[in-house]
Amino acid sequence: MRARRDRQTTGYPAAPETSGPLLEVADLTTHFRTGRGMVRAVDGVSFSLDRGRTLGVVGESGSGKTVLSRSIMGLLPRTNVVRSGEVRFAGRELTALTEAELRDIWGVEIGMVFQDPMTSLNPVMRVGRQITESLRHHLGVDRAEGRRRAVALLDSVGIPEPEQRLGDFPHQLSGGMRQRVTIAVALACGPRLLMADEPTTALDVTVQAQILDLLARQQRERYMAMVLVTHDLGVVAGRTDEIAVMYAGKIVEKAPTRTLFSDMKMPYTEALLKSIPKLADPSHTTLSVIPGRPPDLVNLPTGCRFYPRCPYAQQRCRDEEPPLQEATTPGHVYRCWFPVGTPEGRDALDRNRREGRLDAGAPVAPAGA
Amino acid sequence: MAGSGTAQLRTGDALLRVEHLVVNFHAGPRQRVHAVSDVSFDVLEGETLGLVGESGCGKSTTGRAVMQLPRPTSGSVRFAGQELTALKRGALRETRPQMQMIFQDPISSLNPRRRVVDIVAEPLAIWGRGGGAERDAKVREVFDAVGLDVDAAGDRRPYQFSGGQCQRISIARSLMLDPRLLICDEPVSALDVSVQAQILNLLADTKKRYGLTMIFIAHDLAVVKNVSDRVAVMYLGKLCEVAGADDLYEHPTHPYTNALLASIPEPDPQVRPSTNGAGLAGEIPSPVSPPSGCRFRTRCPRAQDRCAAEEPQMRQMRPDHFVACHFPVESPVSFGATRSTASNQ
Amino acid sequence: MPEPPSSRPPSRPDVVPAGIPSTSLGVMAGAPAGGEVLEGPADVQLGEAKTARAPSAAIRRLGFAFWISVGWVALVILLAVLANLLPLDDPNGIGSSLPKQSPSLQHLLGTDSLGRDIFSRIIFGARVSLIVGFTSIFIGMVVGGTLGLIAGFYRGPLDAIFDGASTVALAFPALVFLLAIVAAVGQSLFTVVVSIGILSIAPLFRIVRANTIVYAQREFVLAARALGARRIRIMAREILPNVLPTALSFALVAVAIAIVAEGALAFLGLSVRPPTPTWGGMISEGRTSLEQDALICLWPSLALFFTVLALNFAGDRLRSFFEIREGGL
Ligand SMILES: Nc1ncnc2c1ncn2[C@@H]1O[C@H](COP(=O)(O)OP(=O)(O)O)[C@@H](O)[C@H]1O
Ligand SMILES: Nc1ncnc2c1ncn2[C@@H]1O[C@H](COP(=O)(O)OP(=O)(O)O)[C@@H](O)[C@H]1O
Ligand code: SF4
Ligand code: SF4
Ligand SMILES: [Mg+2]
Ligand SMILES: [Mg+2]
Repeated sequence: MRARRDRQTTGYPAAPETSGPLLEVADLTTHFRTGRGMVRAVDGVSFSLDRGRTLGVVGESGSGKTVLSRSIMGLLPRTNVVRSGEVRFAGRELTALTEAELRDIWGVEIGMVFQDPMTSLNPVMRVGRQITESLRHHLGVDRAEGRRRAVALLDSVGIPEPEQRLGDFPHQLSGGMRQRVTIAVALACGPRLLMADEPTTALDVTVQAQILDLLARQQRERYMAMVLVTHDLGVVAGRTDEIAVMYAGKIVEKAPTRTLFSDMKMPYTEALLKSIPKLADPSHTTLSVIPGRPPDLVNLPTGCRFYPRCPYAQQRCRDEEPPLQEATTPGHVYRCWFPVGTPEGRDALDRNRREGRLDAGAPVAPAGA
Repeated sequence: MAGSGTAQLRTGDALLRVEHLVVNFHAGPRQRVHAVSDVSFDVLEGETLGLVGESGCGKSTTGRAVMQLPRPTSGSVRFAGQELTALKRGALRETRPQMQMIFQDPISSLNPRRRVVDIVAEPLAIWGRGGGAERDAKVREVFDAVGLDVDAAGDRRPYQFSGGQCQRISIARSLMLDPRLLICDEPVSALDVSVQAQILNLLADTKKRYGLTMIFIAHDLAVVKNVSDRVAVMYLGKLCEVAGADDLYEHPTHPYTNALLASIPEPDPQVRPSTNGAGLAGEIPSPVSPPSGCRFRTRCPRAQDRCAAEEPQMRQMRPDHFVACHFPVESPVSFGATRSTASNQ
Repeated sequence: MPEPPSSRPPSRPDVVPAGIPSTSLGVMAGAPAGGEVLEGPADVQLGEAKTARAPSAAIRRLGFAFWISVGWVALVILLAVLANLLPLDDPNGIGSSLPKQSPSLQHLLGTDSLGRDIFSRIIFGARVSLIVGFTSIFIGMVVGGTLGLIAGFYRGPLDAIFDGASTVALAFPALVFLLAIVAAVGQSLFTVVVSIGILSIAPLFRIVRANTIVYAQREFVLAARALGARRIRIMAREILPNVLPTALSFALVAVAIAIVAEGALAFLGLSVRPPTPTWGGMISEGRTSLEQDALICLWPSLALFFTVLALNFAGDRLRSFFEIREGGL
């Protein structure tokens, strides 16, 4: 709310208000041309996100999460990129904008927080200037006002003694403090969407909890939408409205958070969840593992991309790619021929077990590769 | 510990017994980093001790001090009946094969210029053990133990492997000399959850297969609990609580342990993450000038005047459950209970 | 790109019976008990991009210009080494031909003001340039590199002294130093080589020391210490192989600088005594007749220019080549 007032009082053209979702991504595809062939990092991703809502994007590393979030913002390398699909943000088609036009959106309408704060902070610029810079550039506030707001921002992200910190360089701060500063920078112009790419992966659990709390509070207070990217299902469990699970460049399951945990359909989601050590389990519990690694994005398996690692996989999975299907809960979609918790899924799992085929968590016969 | 004391030490033969360990670093003129201050623990043969705490609390320094890399400022490290701190360089070198270490950064732990077979065979080369055929057989055995194929992987160099695979190679190298004690310094902190599970299971198998004693360092209590028999919680160079892994989780007694537990992101949307309060506020203070008395007092919700004046000593709370706190959480509101009732949204 | 031995799961459908998932078992060595299964094949993605074992890929990644540079330097070395066997005119045969001839079949690059064959003099002159360039840097490398390795590995007071000394040495005006030595000791190839060699110690020391410090902090060095490796072994096996590529690529650039330095000395008449041909000396001699016949000056300048350029370029490419490989992951 405050953001909109800022823009009006400073004469910044407010983006047109539309009634639809704030962010709509349709069939977004991002491939990289490389010496080895086409890297299909993002392959036909669609979702939409309303104001004030949080979408979690989860998947192993290399599944295309970072490329997806950068592709949405238009922050891609200039060469050897093939992008198609639509990204509609507040009624504007971002893929049609020039970089100069995008620059008025980055940091103003869409804030960004990355895994490594050092990549988004300028190491040779004082913290205070990094915040006031964008305020003054985008919102045209004067020096004194910029400083006042910077102090208020640092205070609101939980940095003690904000006046003193204004004069610090990023390397003088701890990892957690730096991430707070990047959040302050991202929030400076009152964005309507926050893209957070693994914001806590480099941090300790205690600091992670603090940063996630901070993001949640800011989001609530500012009525922002947020895309929270992470490899840890635990991170998104209590903090998102909806979760999209990515595997090898595709969204393989998307559901409201509670539904995803209570009624997951994708064997991949299940396997990912089972591989997390749980506090409630006694010590020395053998963890279930997902065998192998995600596929090479240049040479993707035919059919379902998860089949080489899937405990439910059958011949059909290898031959035919499963389409996005709707589950019973509204908003719950998945791509699987033998979904978890269905008779077909149980049969498939039983058959694989009986025949001693690959099964995450069960001993596998040694193979002389 | 966030106090000191030795109540947690057990009688009888421990493979490793560390007493009053102190490690200071020089940091500029007349400044000292009190990285580890009076830490005592023991590890029985075949046991896994988990060492958990926020980064910067001195976990790695403790692990390295046990290996005498570098030698601690003061304190005693007895390993298999030998006082390591008293050994001369040559004698210390003789003990090296019995203690090995695995590091956090899988890439940095392996020499980028060498083939992985050479990296793994290096321990035998250092000690001049075994002939060519014998070495090959041992290399094959440890590669097999960590689930890598020596013929396929051996000729490659570390940068051609993923983080998880590099960690396997590190584990393979550490097994070459048949050590008795393996110190794992955050071996899974840099890995994805899916790969983390693979490595944790591998460590458990390896331990069984080779009869290892382990010290497992991590900042995530859920991970530590999974692999450990006994857990020591560390804060700013001191120990806070020492207890059996399951017991610690069921009866977390130290306020810091409770805070650590509250920070773990549970993969269950029914458990609403603590917003204010239960989680830990603020950051770990500088070890250059740690707080007086109980080092945790600046962030402790239960802190009283006494905590600033007097350092708490380790004392027994329950059988084999020790805590260093003046005002421990006597009857902890059971963790599961608060969490499950907090599910209304 | 040959298929890595640990084949990719989907690429060998023929070995898979009806069961699908077992394809991925093909890549797993004996999976340890307890549900542990290995991650898939060695990182194929990175492997192919950066494989050190595929020379053709490495050749391509260094680039065409790199190989041109290497080819040029190799050609110059070859000609210089074989100069006596080649059917060349006597480089010092004063008056054997008419002076200041234009290039012809007989004298490929013409003759100089004393009637000597320029082509022959350039080739024989290359000997001096190359000997000075490579030998002096070799001296600098051995001395400076060894000191850098030791200082960077041990640190402590010794390192502080060496480092301070190198700072002082670098602040010293190099050409003045060269002039002083040659003036004091007298002109000879030996003097030139040794004095340029001494000058190159400080910069090479610093490069090696800085790199050593970086690598000495890496955990693989700690791991080697934990294994009981002696320090000399750690330096030789763990640190040196990592420091050497950067140091050698820097040394190539240093060779180019040394060749230029020798050229400058020769130009001032302070390198080897005439009539022994050197490139710098030839440029200096040609200078007097620059107006009438610029070519006499041009040929040795071009030889110097292209050799220095090639060395610089090759050194630079090698450095970034090694950096990229190192940056993997
Ligand atoms: N600029 C690029 N050129 C080629 N491939 C790229 C580029 N950026 C990312 N990739 C590839 O895209 C895939 C997805 O990467 P990323 O989105 O970073 O994964 P995640 O964030 O899920 O870990 C990876 O295989 C990565 O190698
Ligand atoms: N070589 C060193 N010189 C100076 N300070 C150090 C050194 N090694 C570690 N420290 C400091 O000691 C403290 C403990 O570090 P460390 O043992 O690495 O913590 P942890 O492993 O728990 O993250 C930190 O404050 C760190 O900055
Ligand atoms: S489609 Fe088949 S292989 Fe893919 S996730 Fe479903 S069961 Fe597994
Ligand atoms: S109650 Fe006192 S002694 Fe106990 S942890 Fe808190 S500050 Fe330390
Ligand atoms: Mg990413
Ligand atoms: Mg550490």
